[in-house]
Amino acid sequence: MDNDSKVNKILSEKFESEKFEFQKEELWAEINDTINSYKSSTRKKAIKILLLSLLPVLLILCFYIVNIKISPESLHINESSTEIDQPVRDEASRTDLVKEGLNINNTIVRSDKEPELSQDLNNDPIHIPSSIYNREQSILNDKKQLSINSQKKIAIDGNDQIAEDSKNQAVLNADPQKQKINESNLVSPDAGLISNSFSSEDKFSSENINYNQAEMSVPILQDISDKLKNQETNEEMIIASMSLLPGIELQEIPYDRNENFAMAYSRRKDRSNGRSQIGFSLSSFLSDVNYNTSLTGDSPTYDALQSTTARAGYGVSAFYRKTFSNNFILSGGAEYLKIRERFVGAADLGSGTSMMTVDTAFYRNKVEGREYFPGDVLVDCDSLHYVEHTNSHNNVNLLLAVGYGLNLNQSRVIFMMEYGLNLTFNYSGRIIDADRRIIYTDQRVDFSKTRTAGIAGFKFLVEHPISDQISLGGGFSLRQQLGSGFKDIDNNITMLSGDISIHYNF
Amino acid sequence: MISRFKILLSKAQKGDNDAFKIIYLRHSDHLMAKCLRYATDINMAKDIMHDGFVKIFQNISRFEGNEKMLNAWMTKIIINEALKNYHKRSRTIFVEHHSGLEQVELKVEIYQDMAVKDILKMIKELSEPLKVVFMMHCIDGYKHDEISDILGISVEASRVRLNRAKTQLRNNYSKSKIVNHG
Repeated sequence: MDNDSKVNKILSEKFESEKFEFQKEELWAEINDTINSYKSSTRKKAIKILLLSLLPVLLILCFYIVNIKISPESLHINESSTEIDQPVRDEASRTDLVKEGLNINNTIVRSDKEPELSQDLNNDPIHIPSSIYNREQSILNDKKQLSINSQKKIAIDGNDQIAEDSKNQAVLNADPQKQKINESNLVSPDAGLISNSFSSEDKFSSENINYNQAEMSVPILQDISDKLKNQETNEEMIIASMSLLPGIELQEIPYDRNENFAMAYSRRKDRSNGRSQIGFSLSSFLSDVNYNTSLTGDSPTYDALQSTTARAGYGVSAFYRKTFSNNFILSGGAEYLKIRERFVGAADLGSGTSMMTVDTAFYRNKVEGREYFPGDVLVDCDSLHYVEHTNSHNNVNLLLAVGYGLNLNQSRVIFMMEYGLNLTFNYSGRIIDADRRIIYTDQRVDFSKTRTAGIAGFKFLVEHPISDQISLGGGFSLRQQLGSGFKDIDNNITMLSGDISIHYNF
Repeated sequence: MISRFKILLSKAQKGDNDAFKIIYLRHSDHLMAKCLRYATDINMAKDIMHDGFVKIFQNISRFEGNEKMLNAWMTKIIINEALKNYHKRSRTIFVEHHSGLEQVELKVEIYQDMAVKDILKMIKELSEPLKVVFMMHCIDGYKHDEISDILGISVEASRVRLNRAKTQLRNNYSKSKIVNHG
């Protein structure tokens, strides 16, 4: 055992049982107060984290609620809760029509249910102006099995094919005697309606049928009421009658789901492959860049870094973003960030004049108002000097992100999780022993010139189209460097930045 | 069977202030003595104790081990806190003179014979940078590379300071002998 070790052993043993009596309770009271305030701040922090973590969920929920579309099925008219969406079906309507026996392509065939309907209409004492009555009568008498509802379907859908089809002759499968339509009945000076068949010009829409709605409404409503009471009225009958009511324009009812959304995104919803966009973004840090050090880190360098104020940096990025048909988003791109740090502190340099090396990019002696730049400078050390230095370093991030987009009426809200590679390079400054702002050359520590690490983050973006192909975005990103940090300064950086972006959609 | 210490530690780890107070009362005398060695006065030592125990409370949930290990762990935290405090007040530029390492120090037997009180008195007479390195190396058992990391100085500088501290101790000892004999 060498002399040094022997001294160590002797002194360690001697000082092991070393004790000092003092007023423990007094100190404990102070420690207890600090601990309680620490507990309180920890609780507040936990609540903040909880609220912040719930915020995206609440936002998603809110946007979902806002984004709920008014489906035709949920639209009710009158207390009888009769649904009027029946005639607005498109493809489904066609199928139903066929099922009910109406061949809408070339031949209108009879439905099995139709006799009941026609019988009801024939038997009920409804007073309808002669032209309309004649027409309805002729249709029903001919037993074409074309309910008024079916006519409405054709008219409202506005489908050219259907109109064209309906223009074709309606071949009646029933009694051929009743198939003959009294042409004189269909020509009415009252209505100005000239038709010998189901012509495409009138499409049997309410717009083209001029009749006295007020005169008709009361008996028809009575008729509907009776049918409901008797549980005999089918849906088609009600819809047919509703079309004759005053003030109800079935064309006004939203029937095309796509028409609910004015925005460009929704118009492209039918694209099975989704859509793509390229974008360009500018970022600016909303707050100081924070250095995350472990709580138990005892190095003074870490502590100084933690208390360091950092100047805001900026970044630019270019990216490609793919939105799938289910609104999930995949994005990738490259980003350049410049982070600028400012270290502020005080140094009691003692007295005398020394030749020193300023190991930073910039040094300001606030007492004398002089500024120094890297290199050896002569500093008068006769007072407490406040010093300030800056570092700047560059980052390139290669980011891959997944997310989800919520379509609003005019805009789109995007939530994205980002993960990528972070390359830091070209430091233009140095940090040395953080408590000693000015230090001799042999004690300084250079930052590593380059460093690669992971980066992860969260992005919130609101995107608004200004044309079919161009959209603007605004939001914020929260990023965190991953990994073991820099070679000499083991810390990671958290960055909160505000982003604006422009996108080209294709 | 769970020991009383384990129960106490478990409670403290759950944030029980009373349990933590018992731990504090058990170890404070010993830790206060360590603080005093690094501090310039009792108030500074109390500040170090305060900050150290808050840090201990914040991190005790991560601790695993027996009471002896807890003592060592707490000592480490307190010493680190003391060194941090030392850093804050040592702003002066310490000019190193790398003028060779002269082995001029007190004999081991002298340390053996001296009382703790006298050794402390001699250490207190050292300049702050020398005192810190000497206490870290000779009393608290830090190695030069650890001292280098903690104090932010080179390993060589740590050795130089220790050597100079020993030399100064020898000079002080010689002076005190002369005074006593004179």
